[in-house]
Amino acid sequence: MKNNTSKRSSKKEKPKKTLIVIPAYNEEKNIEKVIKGIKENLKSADILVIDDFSSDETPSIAKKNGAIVLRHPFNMGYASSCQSGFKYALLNEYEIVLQIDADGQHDPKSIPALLKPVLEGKADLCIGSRFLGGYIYKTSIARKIGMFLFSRIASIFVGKKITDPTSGFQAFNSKVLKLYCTEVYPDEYPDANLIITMHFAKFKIEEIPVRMFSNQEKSMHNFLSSILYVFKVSISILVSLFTKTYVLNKVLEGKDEY
Amino acid sequence: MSIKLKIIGIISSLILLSIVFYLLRKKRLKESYSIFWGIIAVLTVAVALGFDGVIKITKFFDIDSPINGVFFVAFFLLAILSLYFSVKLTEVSRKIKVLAQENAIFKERLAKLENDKNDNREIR
Repeated sequence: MKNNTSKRSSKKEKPKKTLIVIPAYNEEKNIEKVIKGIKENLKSADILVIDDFSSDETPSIAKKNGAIVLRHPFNMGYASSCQSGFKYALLNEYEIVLQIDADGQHDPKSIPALLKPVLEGKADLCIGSRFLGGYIYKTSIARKIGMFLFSRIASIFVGKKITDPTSGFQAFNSKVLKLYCTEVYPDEYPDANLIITMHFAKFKIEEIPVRMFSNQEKSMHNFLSSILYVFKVSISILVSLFTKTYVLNKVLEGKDEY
Repeated sequence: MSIKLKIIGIISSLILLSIVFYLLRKKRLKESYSIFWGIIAVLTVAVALGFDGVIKITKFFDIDSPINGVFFVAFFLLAILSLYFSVKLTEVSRKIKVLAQENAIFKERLAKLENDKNDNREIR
């Protein structure tokens, strides 16, 4: 028996079916670089670009670079694009999903480190934090205040320090994926509210340092939209606090909604 | 309430009812939504014809001017209606989102199947 077990363990484990989800909208300038960067750092994964009805060449460039492309019939926003990717992953039985932005903000070199805790079973959801590794990240003051506020709120409810609750650079397993494919996943901002919800669903959440580059074009949010963002996420956090039982029931049901 | 005002009330409710009926005929309004507008029209006629009753009710609730009572009820009903339509809009936009997501996934799947089919033909 012992010999059989050691033989089995000595055999190389089959790599887990992994999907890289890239929500993209008018990213023809960056998408090629992002896909190439992913391929350099992770050879065994499929790459899925969700084109949110771009008016430029984003889908054709993505296809040319070997990515699977889903194209929305109209513009639906960031959260819906991510969820389309998750639904695709669930339908095609992927075991691990990694979400990365298409604007080149996230450094693909961090992908192996981000996947590691999930692959080893140490975390169900691993979030890449731009504030853990001592990197400098430039953004507007209003957004900085929002990030600070939400990281404090998320840390209180999760019971451990969450430094970057607005990070869209994250990896997770099929348990999280199933829940992400339900209406529990927010329609607009999958930020601190989602982390709190995942904690309520009793998932293990880890944060690791990753490098993020400031996106000068897009991070210059005007003051009003930043205020609106803070307001909307605050409401979503409030809603998350009142849906704990509902979320738990969803996890216990355990069936695929999609 | 003067006769003139009563006539205006009845005429406006009749206009509302005919618009609702026209929209129903043209299939631009669902039957279930027409019920609410029908009730509004009937209430307008009821207020116009039975304004003495409105005065009695508003006096019972210590409202100085009866028209304030009418405005309050109308505002409340419209607020409820707005809330109802916000819920309906949320429901519809969620359904549209799911349909659009499925559309994108199935289009990709169809394209893949067609590619596979063409590849198989080429091999044969």
